[in-house]
Amino acid sequence: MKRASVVLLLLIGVMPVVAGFIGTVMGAVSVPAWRELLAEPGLLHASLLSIGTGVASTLLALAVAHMAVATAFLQQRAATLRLAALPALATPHVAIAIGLVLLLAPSGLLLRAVSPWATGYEQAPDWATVQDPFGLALTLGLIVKEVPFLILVLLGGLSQVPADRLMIQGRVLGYGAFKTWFVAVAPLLHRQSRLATVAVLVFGVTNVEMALVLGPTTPPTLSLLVWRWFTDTDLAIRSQAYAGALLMLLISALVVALLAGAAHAVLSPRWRAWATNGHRAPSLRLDGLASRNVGRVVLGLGGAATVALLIRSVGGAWRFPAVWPARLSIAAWTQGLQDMRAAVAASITVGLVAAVIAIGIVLAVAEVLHDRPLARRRFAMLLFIPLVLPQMAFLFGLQTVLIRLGMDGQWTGVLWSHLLFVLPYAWVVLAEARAQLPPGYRIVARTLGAGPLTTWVNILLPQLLRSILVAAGLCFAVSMALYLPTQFAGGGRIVTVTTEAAVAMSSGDLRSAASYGVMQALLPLVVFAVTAWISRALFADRKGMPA
Amino acid sequence: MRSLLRHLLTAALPAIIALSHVANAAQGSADWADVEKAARGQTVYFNAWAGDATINRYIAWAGDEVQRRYGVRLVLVKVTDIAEAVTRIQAEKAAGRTTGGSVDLMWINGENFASLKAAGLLYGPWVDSLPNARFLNASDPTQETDFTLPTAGLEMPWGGARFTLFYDSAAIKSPAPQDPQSLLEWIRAHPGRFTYPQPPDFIGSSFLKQLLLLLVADPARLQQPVAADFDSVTRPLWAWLDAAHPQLWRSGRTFPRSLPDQRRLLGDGEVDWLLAFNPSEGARAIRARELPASLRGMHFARGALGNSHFLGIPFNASASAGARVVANFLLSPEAQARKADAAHWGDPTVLSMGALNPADRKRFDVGAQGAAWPAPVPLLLEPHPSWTPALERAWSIRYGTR
Repeated sequence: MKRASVVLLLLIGVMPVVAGFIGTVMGAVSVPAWRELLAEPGLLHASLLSIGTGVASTLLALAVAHMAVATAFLQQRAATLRLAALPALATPHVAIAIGLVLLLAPSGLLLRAVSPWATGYEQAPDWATVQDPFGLALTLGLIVKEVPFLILVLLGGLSQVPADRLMIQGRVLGYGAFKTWFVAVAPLLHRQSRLATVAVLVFGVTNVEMALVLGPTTPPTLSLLVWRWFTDTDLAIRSQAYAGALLMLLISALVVALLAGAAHAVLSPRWRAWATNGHRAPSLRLDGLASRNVGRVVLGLGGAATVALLIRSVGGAWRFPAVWPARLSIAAWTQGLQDMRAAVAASITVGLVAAVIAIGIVLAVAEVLHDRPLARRRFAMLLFIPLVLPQMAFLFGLQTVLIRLGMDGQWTGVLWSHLLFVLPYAWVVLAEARAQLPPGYRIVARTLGAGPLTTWVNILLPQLLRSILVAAGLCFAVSMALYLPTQFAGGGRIVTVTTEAAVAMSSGDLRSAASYGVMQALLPLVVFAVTAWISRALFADRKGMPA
Repeated sequence: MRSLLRHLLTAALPAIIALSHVANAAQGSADWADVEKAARGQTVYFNAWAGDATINRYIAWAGDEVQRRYGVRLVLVKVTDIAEAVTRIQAEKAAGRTTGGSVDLMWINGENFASLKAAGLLYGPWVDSLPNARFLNASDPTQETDFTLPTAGLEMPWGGARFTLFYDSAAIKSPAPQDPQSLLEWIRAHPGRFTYPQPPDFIGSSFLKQLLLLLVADPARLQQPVAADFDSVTRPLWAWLDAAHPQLWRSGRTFPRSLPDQRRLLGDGEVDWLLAFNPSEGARAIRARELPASLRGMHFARGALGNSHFLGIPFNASASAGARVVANFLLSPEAQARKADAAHWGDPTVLSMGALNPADRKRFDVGAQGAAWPAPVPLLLEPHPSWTPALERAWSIRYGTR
């Protein structure tokens, strides 16, 4: 019985990825395919672009997130920061990317606001502020999207770290806040967030959605090249696409290994020397103008992008340099809300069912493994494969598996493919939470004669409820945002808000795309709000309970 | 005796032929009645590029009609590129699913048709069995061949298309350029105001073909497959592009992704031109308030690249009878006339006006199509399909990697 839950989790969460991956490897076993791939014009340039934007965005996003979390912690505003990060986390990548274009492009809101009175431009200038050849706009877009995620991960880690005590100890020893934080607290946080950082890095190197909107086109990133080959109807190109997906995997692995190596070889000794040099550095403050505001600027950009999208959703033709659309129309919204009903229903159903199943399985396995940290760590690695593997490296193979099982285009197939991506998040939140429950209560209950199930329901479940609610919100938000997995497993027959948004976006129908994008952000926020409300209502008279 | 027989036969022949026609027709209509019977109650999953709300509404209308008239449920499966559906059918074939496929009807042409046909993934031939096929315009070469490949009754012509250039007449007051050379001069005089979607985008690749057809010494050569003379045949095209690119939007280093992307650039005032394959695109965008009313359409005077788009049924369709009933309805004068009306879509019809009775012909009198509609010019046929990937590859080596 105990073993059954573990097997079930492996079967649902790991097996399909492995099967899909094997399918990809098989597809790439072909010498001509690799020769074609390596002869592809611009392959090196495209690969470098992928690496550069991925690495730069990850490092900068990590720095910004650390800075924002540190200042928020010192000013005791962690809860506010969490709230501020949620909307951007829930807003889909494509929506943020399009919003940034509407903001930053030469005909975008920023330049309109100062034209022509300050710039003299009656016509939009021919500047490459988005889709620039170096991928700067793409890097910025990735930062805007990943900072909120990293902030939430770090805040989550903060609750597992004795930060208050460490800060006080540092201060007692005369160290400035900045140095204390980065010597004593940040490394502990970083250890908690390593897997998440790897996921961000791999996403940065391999993402399709953001590169499509913000990235350069001559050449595009490697991910876009591979995506183009996969969607080409010419079967001969398919093996080249599989080879490209493998190349992407190799590059991601190499980048992760190199960065980890560099951090170990270069950063660690310097950090150690700095940490132990005895300088108290009291003048290095954390509440300087830059560190206080860099997080706000990034989160603010995300917000501004959403606002730009909203304005566009009600505006029609809109010549530069008008700051406001010539006429407003809510047609896209009234029409859209009607068309949206089925997609919204599908999104909610799949998201909720996926969350419930994931939480149930993870709780069962967490119970089995709660006193085996090594096994837990190995499990986490397995479950994280779908997050750290480029999606294209296994989704095409997975599609074939689903077709063989007769589950493609079915609701169950979509649910399963969502579970692959939802399970690791449920695991992150719940497995450690379960492991860190003090064993005393359970032992007392068992000593008093309660059976294992009674003990779990009456003693452990109440202590885990908060984490369960957090996991539910997170799982729902993750499921909500999945595009490629939905499209592959659903075969276009299962329509969610996210697939509809992509269709609208690809057709350039910004008005309906914006309304779908807003809906995409709204649904997870509602679920977050509901879980927060339940949590508060349940714990109103349980002040002493662990969070 | 023998001559009497011959006389009798000769006299009777027309009658016999007529009779056999009647019998055939009766046979045909009996067969068709069977198809309609089989179709009743079926659900047809229609995979189509669904990025246009106007087109989606037209398909929704057709869905209501076939439900009401034939009891067929039509479900539009929206794809961002019909290649997605083609790859799905390929995956289904690879997985051994020869019946019960997920696609029943699909909107295709050109390379998609070529891939499906070459891999034997299409049902049919079925088009000639449709009662409404008799209205098709047999003299339109774009219906006989799809990018030079014989359609062979495997796909049904659904609509026509002509490569069209739209420009903002508020920005371009003098007469618009009528040939590649004068367009190049205009581009040089207005740096940063012209661009085209980056090949292999459908519109971008079509623009290359349209230019090539006008610039090449011997257009007939393009009807044959690509061969060793590719470089010499296409040289004038690259010369034109080499001259134009430095003066394009973003100095030709970045290109719009697609028609909608370029439409936004025109709407925002970053460029003055829009390229499209549907002459009604301008009228539609003006009505949808996406583009200013000063938009005007034009073809190059010597001819416009033209093709037809089609409906196909996959070999493993679950509801092929239902798909044929839907296709037949979409081919009816009523549905075609509504589709040709810019108020509902504005997609040129594939029917021959001469084959219609006066009442049906009247349906197509929808009056003026608006100022953005281009004046007609001669038709230029699509090159052999091998030219498209060859041009795209050559383009990406020359311009796609710097």
